Amino acid sequence: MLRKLMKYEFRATSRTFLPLYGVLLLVAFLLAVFDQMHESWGESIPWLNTASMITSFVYGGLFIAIMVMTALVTFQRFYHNLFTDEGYLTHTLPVKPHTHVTGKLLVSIVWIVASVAVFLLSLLILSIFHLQPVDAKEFFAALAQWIPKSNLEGWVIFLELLLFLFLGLVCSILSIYMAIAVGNISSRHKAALGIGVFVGTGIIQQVVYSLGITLGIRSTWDLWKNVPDNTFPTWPIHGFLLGHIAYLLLFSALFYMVISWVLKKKLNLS
Amino acid sequence: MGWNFQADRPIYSQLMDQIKRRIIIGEYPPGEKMPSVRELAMEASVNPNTMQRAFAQLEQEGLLHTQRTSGRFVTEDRDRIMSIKEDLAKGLVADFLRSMKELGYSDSQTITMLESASLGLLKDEPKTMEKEGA
Amino acid sequence: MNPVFECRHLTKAFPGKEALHDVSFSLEEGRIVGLLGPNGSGKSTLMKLANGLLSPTQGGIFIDGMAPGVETKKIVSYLPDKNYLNDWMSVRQLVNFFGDFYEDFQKEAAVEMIQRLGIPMHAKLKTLSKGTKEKVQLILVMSRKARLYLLDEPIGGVDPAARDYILHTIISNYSEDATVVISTHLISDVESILDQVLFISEGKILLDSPVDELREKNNMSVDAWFREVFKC
Repeated sequence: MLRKLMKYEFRATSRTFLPLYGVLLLVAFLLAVFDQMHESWGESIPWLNTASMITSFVYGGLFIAIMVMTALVTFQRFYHNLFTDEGYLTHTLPVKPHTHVTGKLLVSIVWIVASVAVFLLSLLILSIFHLQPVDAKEFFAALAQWIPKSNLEGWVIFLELLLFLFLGLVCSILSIYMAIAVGNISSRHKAALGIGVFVGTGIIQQVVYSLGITLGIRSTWDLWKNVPDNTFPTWPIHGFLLGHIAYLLLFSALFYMVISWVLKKKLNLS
Repeated sequence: MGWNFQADRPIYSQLMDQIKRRIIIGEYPPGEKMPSVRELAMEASVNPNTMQRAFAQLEQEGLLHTQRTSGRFVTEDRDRIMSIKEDLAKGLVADFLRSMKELGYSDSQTITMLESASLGLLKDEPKTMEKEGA
Repeated sequence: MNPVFECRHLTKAFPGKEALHDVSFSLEEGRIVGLLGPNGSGKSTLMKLANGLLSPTQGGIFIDGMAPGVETKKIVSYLPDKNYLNDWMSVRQLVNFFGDFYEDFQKEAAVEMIQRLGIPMHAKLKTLSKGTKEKVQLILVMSRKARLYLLDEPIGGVDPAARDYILHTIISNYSEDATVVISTHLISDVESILDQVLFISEGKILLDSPVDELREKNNMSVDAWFREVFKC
């Protein structure tokens, strides 16, 4: 069921994103072309500078648009699909409420990652005329060198870092989902309640976070004494990352459960 | 012939009347297989349960009978059909006489009117037949 | 054998209003039931509760013996009183959508009905007229082989021909294992296809009776009796 939900989620959202991505890459290519033209024929083409400038603006604008749209679509779809008339269709599907949350969360994350990937790709395209095959060779050679050199612990830290970033994203998205969901419980003050919940959880998160950091530092303070000179131990890095991961997991799970509870018990479609 | 109902009387009994009529005039001949409950219900735009009830009642009255796997059939008992036809005719006559009586006509006046009307009809017939021929 | 649809002392209260009060009834399978009442009497609320879109304040509501949840959603087919399908999807996409999520959806039957009405499969829902959109919604809902069909005002605001089509579809879809509940305030139009009626007013059930019994007892149509009962 999750896969089916995600399939339709992607279908609904790709209509918005794919064209934007396409245009961004096209504009990047156009900029690259203008840049190349400028180099080869420089001042002889009068409109080149203006065209370049306008296209740069468009590129910048598109970049911002994609960022805004990603955020907007993520939350607007959550709200629209679950709490407006469309909810009549969504909630009568034989699917557990929490599956809806998971589906939308995962799809949102995919689009966020995709937008970053597309942006990097557009940067590559911008410099496409300046690249030589040599550059590619160098890039991959450096990569090949770096990978085997890292030891197991390096990989573990890398994975911890990825998990940390992923959970950070999950937690942020879920906190907004929760604000939307809880806000909807009220018939007349949805927005106010939602904002209130968001601010409230933010404060609670801050308190817990500070407590966590203080605890972490206090409990490991003495361990610093045993560190030999001129070395940097890796355990603080693990501690830092794992601590954050635990914190993010805790709140993510909390938010997830609250959202599912609201969907199950406190639905209020007009 | 379409199906017509009035909602102020139970529909199943109206259905029974209409099915009886069709049996009498031969639309559902003796011994013939009846359309299924669902088919007839769709044709008449009524609830299949209502049609089912009508069928069941008609079976009780002996006009229809079920052959286990083949469905429902009209009775072959022509006498029974005849007696139902007579009952219906008698009912129509009784209703008519009563209506005329309410208007103030005696039975004998009504009969006289009937006779002249029927003669009148005979006079009109050639004209209508001519129209049909042309 | 559980009744298909049962309510036991069901109460639903909103801030400032009690939409349903102590509602109890039990519907067997193989019936076409009319949920009849004036606007605002609680008909839609009752249907939403049956679908798990609202939670009871008190009392219980059961579909085939189960409280509303994933299992009941598999056997309940609901037609709400509004346009709730994704406007940007095409008819074909919607048919596939229903087929994807509902095991009991009969795709070929749905497609056949749609094509017989001359509705193009590739047309986006938003390009269709209101009447056509409603027919599509009805076809999708009735093409499921569900145990309980809940139709909220299916004939309100449609022309007589469309109305006949809707009633015809309901009859032809009739199954002895399923029950159809039609909520409406337009009684004379649906009377002839009902087995049983529930009169509801201001959140309370006033009458629960087989239709023919009501006609025999009162010598009038359900519509006429309704007007009597609800005379201002």
